[in-house]
Amino acid sequence: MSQQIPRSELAEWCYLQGKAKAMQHTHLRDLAHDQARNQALTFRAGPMLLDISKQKLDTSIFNGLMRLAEVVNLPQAIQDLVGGAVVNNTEARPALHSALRLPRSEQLVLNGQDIVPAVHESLERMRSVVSRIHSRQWRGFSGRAITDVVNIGVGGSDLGPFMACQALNEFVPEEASRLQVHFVSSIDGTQVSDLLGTLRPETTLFIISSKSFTTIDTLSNAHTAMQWMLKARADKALILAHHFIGISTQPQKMSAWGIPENNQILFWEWVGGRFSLWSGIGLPIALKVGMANFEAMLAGAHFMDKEFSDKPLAQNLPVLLGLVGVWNATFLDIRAHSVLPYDGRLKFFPSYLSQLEMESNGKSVDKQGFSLDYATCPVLWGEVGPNAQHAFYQLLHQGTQAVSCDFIAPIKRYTGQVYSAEAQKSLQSQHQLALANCLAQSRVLMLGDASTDSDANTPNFKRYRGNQPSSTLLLDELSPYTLGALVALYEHKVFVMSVIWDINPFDQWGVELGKKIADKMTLALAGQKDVVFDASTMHLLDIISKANQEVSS
Amino acid sequence: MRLCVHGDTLFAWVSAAKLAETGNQVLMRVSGINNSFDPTREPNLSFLLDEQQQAKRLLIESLADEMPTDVHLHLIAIDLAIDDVKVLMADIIKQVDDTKPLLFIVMSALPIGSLDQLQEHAEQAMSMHTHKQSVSVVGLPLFCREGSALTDYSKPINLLICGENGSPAITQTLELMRPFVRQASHIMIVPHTTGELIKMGVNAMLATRISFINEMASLAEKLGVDIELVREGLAADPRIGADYLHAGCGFGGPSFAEGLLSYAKTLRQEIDTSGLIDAVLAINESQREILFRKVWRFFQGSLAGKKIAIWGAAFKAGTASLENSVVHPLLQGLWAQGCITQVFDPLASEALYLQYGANPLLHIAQSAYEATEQADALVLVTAWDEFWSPDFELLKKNLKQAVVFDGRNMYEPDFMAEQGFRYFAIGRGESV
Repeated sequence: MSQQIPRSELAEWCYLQGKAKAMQHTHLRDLAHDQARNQALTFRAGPMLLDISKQKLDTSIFNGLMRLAEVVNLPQAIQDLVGGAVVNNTEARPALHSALRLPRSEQLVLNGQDIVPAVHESLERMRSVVSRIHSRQWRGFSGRAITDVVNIGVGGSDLGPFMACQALNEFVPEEASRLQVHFVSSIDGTQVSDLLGTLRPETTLFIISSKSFTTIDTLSNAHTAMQWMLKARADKALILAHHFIGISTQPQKMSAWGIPENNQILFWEWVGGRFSLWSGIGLPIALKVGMANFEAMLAGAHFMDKEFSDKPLAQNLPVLLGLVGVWNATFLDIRAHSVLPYDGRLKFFPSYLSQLEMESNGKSVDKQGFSLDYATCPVLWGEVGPNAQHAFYQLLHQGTQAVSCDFIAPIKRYTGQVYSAEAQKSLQSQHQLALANCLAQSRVLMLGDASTDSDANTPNFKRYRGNQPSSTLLLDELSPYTLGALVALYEHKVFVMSVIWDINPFDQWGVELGKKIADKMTLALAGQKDVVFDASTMHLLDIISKANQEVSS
Repeated sequence: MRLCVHGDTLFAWVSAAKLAETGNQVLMRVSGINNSFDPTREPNLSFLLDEQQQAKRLLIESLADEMPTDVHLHLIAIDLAIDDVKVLMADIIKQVDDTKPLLFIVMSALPIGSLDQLQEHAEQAMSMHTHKQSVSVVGLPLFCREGSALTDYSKPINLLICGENGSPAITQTLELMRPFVRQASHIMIVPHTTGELIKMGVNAMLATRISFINEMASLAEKLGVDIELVREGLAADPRIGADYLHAGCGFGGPSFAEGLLSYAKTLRQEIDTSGLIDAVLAINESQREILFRKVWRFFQGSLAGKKIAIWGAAFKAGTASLENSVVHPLLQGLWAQGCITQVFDPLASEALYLQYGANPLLHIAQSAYEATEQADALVLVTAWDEFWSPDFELLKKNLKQAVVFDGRNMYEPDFMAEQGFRYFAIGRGESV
């Protein structure tokens, strides 16, 4: 990585810049009817189909992107990633989420040690916990079986498991049908206070998920949970033994908090928080959908890992999705990206991705520490497509922002028996409606007015500019396996973009300072006098402290 | 009369034995699978069956054997779902080769509405048949209790016959049951669905009384009140009475809970609610683990390696059956925590061995006292007579700690305390 040419000075980079300039004068509708182009820009990997023919690119750009990927050594970078090289340079460690998906038969040697056995040992511990809870033999202090599990975690310890639990709700096996899994994350206590009002301490189990086991958000929620438990039964050792599980890379810190060794599930420093749902952090998923389905998710992700590491760049789904992302954000200067699943089960996929992408690639220095002179990660947001049509699609169609989109939909849905045959039929036709809307929206975004019969007399407020690029990702159906593959696809897409941009996607220094200042601010709110902040902060502190004094007096 | 009994449930065996005893020619067709009832489990039943076979009034064949062609009275007492009963009926109808009317007497516990469905089905099957004689379905739900089934059969409290009053089918059924009709306290002839609802209602009411007293027992325990005194007070009121009002570790037994689940389902389907029965079932489910919970609490959740003696495993005294017994949740709970269990049951040891023999945490004791050797506590599951007055001195000597959890409220708390036992029962004794 030393003494390399900055990305923006590479000939391949400049070539693409030129192409981008030319492309500004091309409307997507001019590319829309080329069937050979569509064929060339549609790709399949297992249960997944990716259509990037609604993107603003042609063969020369596609080839240019491939050349750029080659020249920045993307193939080597991929092998480095999955092989356990130190790809996280600022924290000097590998990022081996793909190792969490390796089958038991594989090997991966890290610092002279095969890590696959440890991964499967941890899975075994998960399996044992899941089996005890599902068989209703994990008992609370009163001897009653646990009926509610509350996952306390934030960021990667929350978003991934929460997203997957929502997505796979229909895969709950019989033995888990009476178990409720809840999520608590926010530091303000909103969720935890809502939840504690509805649960019974004797049948509630808390999972404290924190990679560092120092996250104040999580520990403050855990503290509240503990106080609530102690009110029901004032025997801390008993409560800790039967009502708290810890998941972390830090066994000493878990022990210091009081989590008994038997209730600790470990993972490793080489698992990034936002990539950790495949580790012990995924326990809520396994509790919700069963160990077999959790393992199907791992298998789906492993399938994508193999695609990523083995397929040539030009047929490699994560590479293609990543290069398209860079093309849009950096070369076409599209600063916003929207993820639009046409399946309500993926409601929380966009918010999961907003962490995965923006925390990974929201960076502005390269791996050598130099400032970048090009745009990196776009603002990413999204919502269930059909609902978003009634919310922010207005801006996509007629606003002034260029926005790229990912449309995601399963082809088949409601194939299993649901309620009555009539209801099932009706649900299937609802799914057809969703698919129709999915295809309609991406078409209108591409073509604008050209998709309809507007003419010169159509007033401007009814006009559609079109020319908003999008990718369409079709899954054969949504299952634990395809969800695993989908998540891994985006994980690797993020990595591809980071390699092109020459940034480290595995650190998050940008979230550290706020935590430090919050500590000082907490002291100031508690009444510490000798602190000095800016005028605005001092004024706000003053207002709050006066209001508090009035309450207490 | 010549008749054929299909199935090998308790009702099938008892019907075959009693109907042969009263002079009928009975062919019994047994499945040997599907929750077969072992007749040795029921007092005197095997003896009566042997006797009737020797007298040549009872012949036992298999369901796989050829269907008789010359029998026109069929007792369906098989433990099958309604669709399988339909298949069986169609097979019988196919075999009939003359024009005498055909009568099906259905004893199987089926969901509400089944008898009408079966009648319709039988008529349909017959209409496809060349002979087209009349066919009738009559329901004869039995109220026999395991352990006293033969007596209950001979002297029914309520002989409930479900069919069209005055029809030849009812006349024939009454004729078949004539020896027992005169000993019946009450006879009712009611339409199909009415009879089904009565049968369900009886079960549901009894279950409700049990869950009711069990809920009171939990409260009594918390308040330091002896539930046995409360029970006595309730039972003294003639509007309430004493039956099915004993606090314990929940109801079990074959098909009792199953019938209730089916009843709850019918309620949900028909009137969109099952609030009361759901509550009854939920209390029962919780009650079935109450012994485990008491043990758990006593040992503060640290049960690994503890040795627990268990007296009784059968779902009630007098039977060798483990079906739906509270011993299952107790054993599974204890094993999951790594407890060693030493179980003694005078009749159910074999059933226990067949079901759990392979589990290294199960030791089946040859005597009540052997079970208690070096045990950390004794748990009483079944109210066998021999447990009423044990040698408490020996018990204390055998146990590592003198602790008794009594799921059947067999002992007096004060007496047990005097003897130096920590004594925990259902709604009485120490609270834990």
